[in-house]
Amino acid sequence: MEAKIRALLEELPGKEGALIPLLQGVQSTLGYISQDAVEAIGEVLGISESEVYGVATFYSEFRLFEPGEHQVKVCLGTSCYLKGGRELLERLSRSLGIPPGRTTPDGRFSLETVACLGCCSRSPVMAVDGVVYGNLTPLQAKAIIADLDE
Amino acid sequence: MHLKIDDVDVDVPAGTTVKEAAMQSGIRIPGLCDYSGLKPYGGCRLCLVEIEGIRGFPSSCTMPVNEGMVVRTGTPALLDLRKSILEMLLSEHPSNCLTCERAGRCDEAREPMRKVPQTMGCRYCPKDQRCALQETVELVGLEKVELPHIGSSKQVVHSPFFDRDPNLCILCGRCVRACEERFAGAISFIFRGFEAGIGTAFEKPLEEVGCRFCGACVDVCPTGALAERAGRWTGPSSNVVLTTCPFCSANCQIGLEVAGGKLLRVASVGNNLCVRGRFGTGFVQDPSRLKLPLVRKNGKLVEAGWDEALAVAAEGLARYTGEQFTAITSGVCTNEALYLVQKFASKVMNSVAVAPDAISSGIKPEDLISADSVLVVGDLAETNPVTGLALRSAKNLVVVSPLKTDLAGASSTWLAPVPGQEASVLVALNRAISNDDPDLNGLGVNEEEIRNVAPLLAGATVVIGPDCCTDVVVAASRLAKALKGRLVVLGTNCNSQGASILGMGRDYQETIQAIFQGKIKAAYIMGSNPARAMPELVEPLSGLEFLVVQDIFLTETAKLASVVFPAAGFDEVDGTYSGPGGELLRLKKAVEPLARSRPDWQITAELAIKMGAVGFDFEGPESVLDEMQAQPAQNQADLESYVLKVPEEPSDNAHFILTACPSLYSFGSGTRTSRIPDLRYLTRERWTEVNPEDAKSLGISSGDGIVLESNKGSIKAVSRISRRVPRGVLRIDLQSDLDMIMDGRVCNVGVKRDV
Repeated sequence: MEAKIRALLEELPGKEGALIPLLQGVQSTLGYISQDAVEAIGEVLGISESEVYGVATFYSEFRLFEPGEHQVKVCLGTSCYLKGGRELLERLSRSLGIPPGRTTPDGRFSLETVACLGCCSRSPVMAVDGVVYGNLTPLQAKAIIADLDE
Repeated sequence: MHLKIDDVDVDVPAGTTVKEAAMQSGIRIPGLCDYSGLKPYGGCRLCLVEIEGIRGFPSSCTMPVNEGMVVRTGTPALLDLRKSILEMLLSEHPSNCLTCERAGRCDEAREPMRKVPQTMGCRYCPKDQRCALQETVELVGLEKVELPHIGSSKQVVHSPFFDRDPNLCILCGRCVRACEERFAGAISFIFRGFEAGIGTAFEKPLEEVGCRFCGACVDVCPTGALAERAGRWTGPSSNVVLTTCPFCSANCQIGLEVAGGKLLRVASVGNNLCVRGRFGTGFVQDPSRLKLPLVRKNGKLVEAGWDEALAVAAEGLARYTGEQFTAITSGVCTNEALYLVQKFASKVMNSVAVAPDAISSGIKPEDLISADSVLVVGDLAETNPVTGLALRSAKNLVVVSPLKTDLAGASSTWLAPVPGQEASVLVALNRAISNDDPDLNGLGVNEEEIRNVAPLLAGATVVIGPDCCTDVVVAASRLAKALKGRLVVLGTNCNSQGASILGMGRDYQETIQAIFQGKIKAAYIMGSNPARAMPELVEPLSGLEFLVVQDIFLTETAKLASVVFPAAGFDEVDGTYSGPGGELLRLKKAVEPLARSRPDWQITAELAIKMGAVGFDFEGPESVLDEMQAQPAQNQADLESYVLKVPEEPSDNAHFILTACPSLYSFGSGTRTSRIPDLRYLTRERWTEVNPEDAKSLGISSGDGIVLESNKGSIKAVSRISRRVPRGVLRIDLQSDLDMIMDGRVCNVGVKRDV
C-alpha cells in the first residue's frame, strides 16, 4: 500500500496539499479508503492517521468502508426528506443491521445516503446498483432488498 | 507596541495577541478555545472584540496587536453577541445547572446523584468546579438558555486513565492542538456537522494511534469531556503541593492535588508531563502498601511494633561487620535517605552502601536544547519522555538508534546501526573525526553517512539515555572528548544524580557479585528491589543470614527479609533529589505518612541509634541535608581504563535480531508501575514489534501469538505490527524474565506462529 501511495504522490506537485488528491486516488483504485490506505498516507505525508481520517470523514465524497456487492443509496435531498426518505433509511438500516455508511459483515450490502438523485418528482427514491426506484414506502424498499438477497 | 483597550493604555511587545494584551492589563475577555501555550484557533467566537478601523468583530485570541490600535471589549453589541454565541454552544451541552436560578446554592444532598450514567448537569459532571464553561457563563452573564436543547447520547469512549464523553464536548479543539504540540497527533476532528467530534482513525483505541497517555489533552479540556478517572468524583482540590516526579531523571515538577489530607490526583504545573508523572504516581495509594513493620517469626513475616522491629534488626545486624555486610539502595530515594544509609554502612557497619546508579552527569534541559548540535543514543521517548520531547527542537539533532524512535523520526540525521552495534558507531564516528579509517564492517551504517555527519558534530553535546550499556557510555565519553563537546549520561532514576554524587555506584557490580558468591552474610536494602530486577538473585538473597528491607511494599526482595520496615511514600516526606545540573530539587510532603510508615531517613537514623551509634540524632531532613552538603566530594566512576567489548557478530542461523528495550509504561523493575491498573493494562501482553513487511512474509498480523526461539530457549509473545522496527529486527519490552532467551539486551531469534 505504501508503495502505491508513493507512486500516486509521484504524479503530484509535492506533499503540500497532496492529502485530498491521494485520498481521491485511493478511492478511484480501491473503491473506498481502507484502514491500510489511511495509515500509509499518514506515513508518506508525515502526518498522523487520525488527521488523515479526520479529513476523509469531513468530505462525504470519501467512502471509508469497502462497498458491498450491492450498493444501496437512499436519497435524503429536500424533496425525498419531506416525502419520507428518512423512514426509508431507518427501515433499511434496521433490516440490514448496519448504520448508513457501512457494509454488512457478509459483504453483501452497503448502505449510503445521497443528497439528490435527480428525480425529485418520484420522491422518495433510492438507487440500488444504479437502478432508481421511486415512490417508495419503507416496506417496498425492504422487499426490493430482500429480493436481491435471495 | 502601544494600544488602547477600553480606554486603558497598554504597552506590549509585537506579536502579542489582543487577548493577551488585555489579560496583561487586567481586562478579562472570555474564551474557551484559547489556551496558553497552544496555537491560537479562534473557534469558539467568545473573545470577539471591536477594533477601530476593522470591520465586524475580530476574535481577540487570533488578532495580533498593532501600533495605535483602539480596542473595545465590552460594548453592548459585544455583550449581546457573546451571550447568543454561548447560548448556542449550551444548546448542545447539558446546561441545567449552569443557568439554574439556584446555581451554587444547590443542596449538598444531591451529590450521590453523580452516579447517574449520563452527565445531565454540573452536579453530575466529573469536572464540576474545575470547568471553564462554568466560569465563562458567569463572566458572560448568561442567565437563561432559551434555544431548544439538542440532546446527544453519543457513546462515552473509555481509555486507559481517562474517558471521553463526547456529549460534553464543545469542539474547542484544545485537545487536538495539545496532542499536536506533543507530536503525537493521536486525535483529530472527525466527521462534520452534528456528527462532528474528536476521535481517532477508525475509532481505534488510543494506544493504537500513537497516544502516549501524557494527559495533555485532559489538562487543557475546558469541560468534563475529558476527565481522568483517578479522583473522578472528588471535586476540586484544597491545595496543590509542588513536588518532584519520583520516576525518571528528567525530574519534572508535578502538582499534587490534595483535599482533606488525601491525594486526589496529579496536575501539570504548566509543564509537559509523561504518563508516569501524570497518571503513574497512584502507587502510593495502593492498598498493598506496608502499614506496619514486619518481623520473621517461625519462618513467617508477622506484623510488629516499631520498637520490636528496630530491636530485632539492630540485634541481627550487630553480629556482622565489614565485608560480611552491605547496604543496597537506589536513586529512587531522597538525598537524605541515601546519605544516611551511606553513613550507617560506613560508621555503624564499617562497610559501604551501593546503588545501581553508577554514572549520571546531567545537564539542565534548557542548556540541552540551546546546544548547537546534539547527538543522542537511546530511546528517550520511553525512558525520559519529557527530555526527549524537549530535544526535538534541538537545532542539529543526530540520532544513533537501530529503531525509528520518536527522536530518530524528528532528527536531521539518523544513523541506524544493527541492534547492539551502537557503541561501534560511536567509535567509527570518533575515528572519522580524527581522519582514521572507520571500520564499519557489520554495523549497518555506511561510510558515507559517517563521513557526512562527523563534521556537523564539532562541539556537540552527546546525550546517552539510561537504556544504554556501559560500552556505549564509554565510547560516548571518548567521542565527546574528541568533539570537544559535552557528555550527558542520563540517570535511570529521579535521584540517580544524588546517588552518583555520593559515589554509591562505584562498587555496585562487585557487591552483587559478592552476594552471588556468598561472601556477604547480612544486608540492609532500602528502596531497591533486586529480587524483581534480577530473579536469579532470589536464591543468593534468601541464603543471607540476616536481611533488613525497607520499602513501601512487600516487594519480592522484602518477602525474603528477616525484618521489613514500612517506608513513607514520595508524597509523604520532605526531602531533596539532586537535579540534572546538580541543583537540589524539593520533594514536599503533601499528606501524612500512611498508617505507621516512616520516612526512610528517619528509619535509618533510628536503627543506627538503636545500635548505639552516635551522630544520627537529626531534627529533620534539613539537618541531614546540611551535614551531607558539608561532606567532601566523592570520586566518580572511572571510564578511562574501561576496555570496550567486541560485540558478537549476528549468526546466520536465526532470521531476526531481537532487541529488548525499556518501556514507557513499566519503569525500572516495575515495582511501582505494576501497581497502576491502567499501566498494567498497557503492558498486559509480551508485545513484540514486527516490521510490516516482515509480518507479511511471516503471515502474521497484529495480536497474533508468536514464539521467539533463541539458542538459549524460547518464549511466547504477541506480535504488534510497527513501523518503528526495521526489517529483520524485533523489539520487545525489557522484562526481568527475558533471561529465558537472552543474556544481554540483544540476541538472534527465529520467529514462528504460535499454534
